[in-house]
Amino acid sequence: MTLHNFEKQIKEKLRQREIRPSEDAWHQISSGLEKGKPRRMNYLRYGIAAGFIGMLIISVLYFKAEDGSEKEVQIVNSPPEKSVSNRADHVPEEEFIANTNKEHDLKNGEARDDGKPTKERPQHLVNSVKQAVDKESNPEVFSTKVKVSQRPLDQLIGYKVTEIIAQVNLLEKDAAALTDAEVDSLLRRAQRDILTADLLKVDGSVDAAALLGEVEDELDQSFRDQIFEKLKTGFEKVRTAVADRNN
Amino acid sequence: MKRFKHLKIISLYKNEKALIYKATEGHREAQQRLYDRFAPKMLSVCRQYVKDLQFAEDVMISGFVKVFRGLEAFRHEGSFEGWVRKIMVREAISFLRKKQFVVFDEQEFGDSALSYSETSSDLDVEYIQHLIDDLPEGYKLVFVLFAVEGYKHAEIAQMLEISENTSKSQLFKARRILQEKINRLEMSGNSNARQN
Repeated sequence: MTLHNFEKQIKEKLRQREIRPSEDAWHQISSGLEKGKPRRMNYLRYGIAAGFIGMLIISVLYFKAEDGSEKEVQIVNSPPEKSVSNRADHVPEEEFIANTNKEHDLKNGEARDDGKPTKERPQHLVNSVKQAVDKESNPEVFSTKVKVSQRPLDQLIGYKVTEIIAQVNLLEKDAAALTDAEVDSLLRRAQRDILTADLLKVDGSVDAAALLGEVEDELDQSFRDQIFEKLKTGFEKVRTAVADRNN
Repeated sequence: MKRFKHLKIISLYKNEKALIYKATEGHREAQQRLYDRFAPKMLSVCRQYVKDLQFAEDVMISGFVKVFRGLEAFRHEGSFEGWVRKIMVREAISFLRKKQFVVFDEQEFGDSALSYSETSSDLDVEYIQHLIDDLPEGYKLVFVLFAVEGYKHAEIAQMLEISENTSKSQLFKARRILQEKINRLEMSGNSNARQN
């Protein structure tokens, strides 16, 4: 028998052979296929769940970021700053010369021609105080601030207005002269009180946004004071020069 | 009669194709039918490589799991049985490699022609299997792949990650061992006949 024939015979016999597998074999295959199936399903489920959670986190972060930016706007445009700046920057610009003159006159012990050096001024200042505080409490102008805590702030501003008016009236009665500086200091103190009160929440904790606003305001205020002082000095120099020339 | 036979073959083929399509979709009954049809032959294939029947069955089981999971890869270009058989062969080789049964020696082989004795024509399949089982794993793999499965040396070399020369060497040595065993069998057969 040649090699080829022998191997051919082996091939035929082995290829025709069949061995019956055990009864359990199919169950093992079936369970093996079942194991593979849920794995795919699990991956899909985990993928969907992860996607959903991711979307949720992104949306929460997005909306939180939006809220944060609103709060930042509140801090930047906080009403006390505006009202005070209006009072400190714009009003003095127009009335600055007159007020400084008045101050100067009072310092030098000069009386006005009409003989009522103090009576008009307090009334005017009281009106300006009222206007300034009314501006603060105006909901149209400072609508963002009102969003945070409308009623307690209104109450506080109202209280402060009455307090300032009472103080102005008292000073008006007692003191011979009520200067702008005194009224300004009263206003600023009231403003500070309002801002400090705004810092504290109902539960006693400190409002971070309001605190930041206050710090920014203080920084801004010191800068404004510097400019105010420089303007004042410059103006006095000019005024003295003009007075000397006239003399 | 011939027409009936022809129709039967066509219907079987169509059934097999339909079964394959259903099994591809994950239809468990179709998968079981395909398994029932091919499992005995595939266990025989695995048994050619793996001496222990239990291990051979394990190889067949993991092979069928791969078959059903990878049915989408079957293009219906060749026979389904051939495709399944290839998977089983690869699975058996992988099993032997994992168990580190296979050792290929690189010794050169002679060129002398081998011829089996005439008595070997009476060999039954169990004895053939026994002869193959007794071969060293490396020889056995190459011999079965070459002589039974019909792979070429280049293909065997690629499958087993060996050189073609090693494949040829393994085959030569396997044949020589088989020849010696058959010669011994022949001699013992002759002596038995004389005694009778």
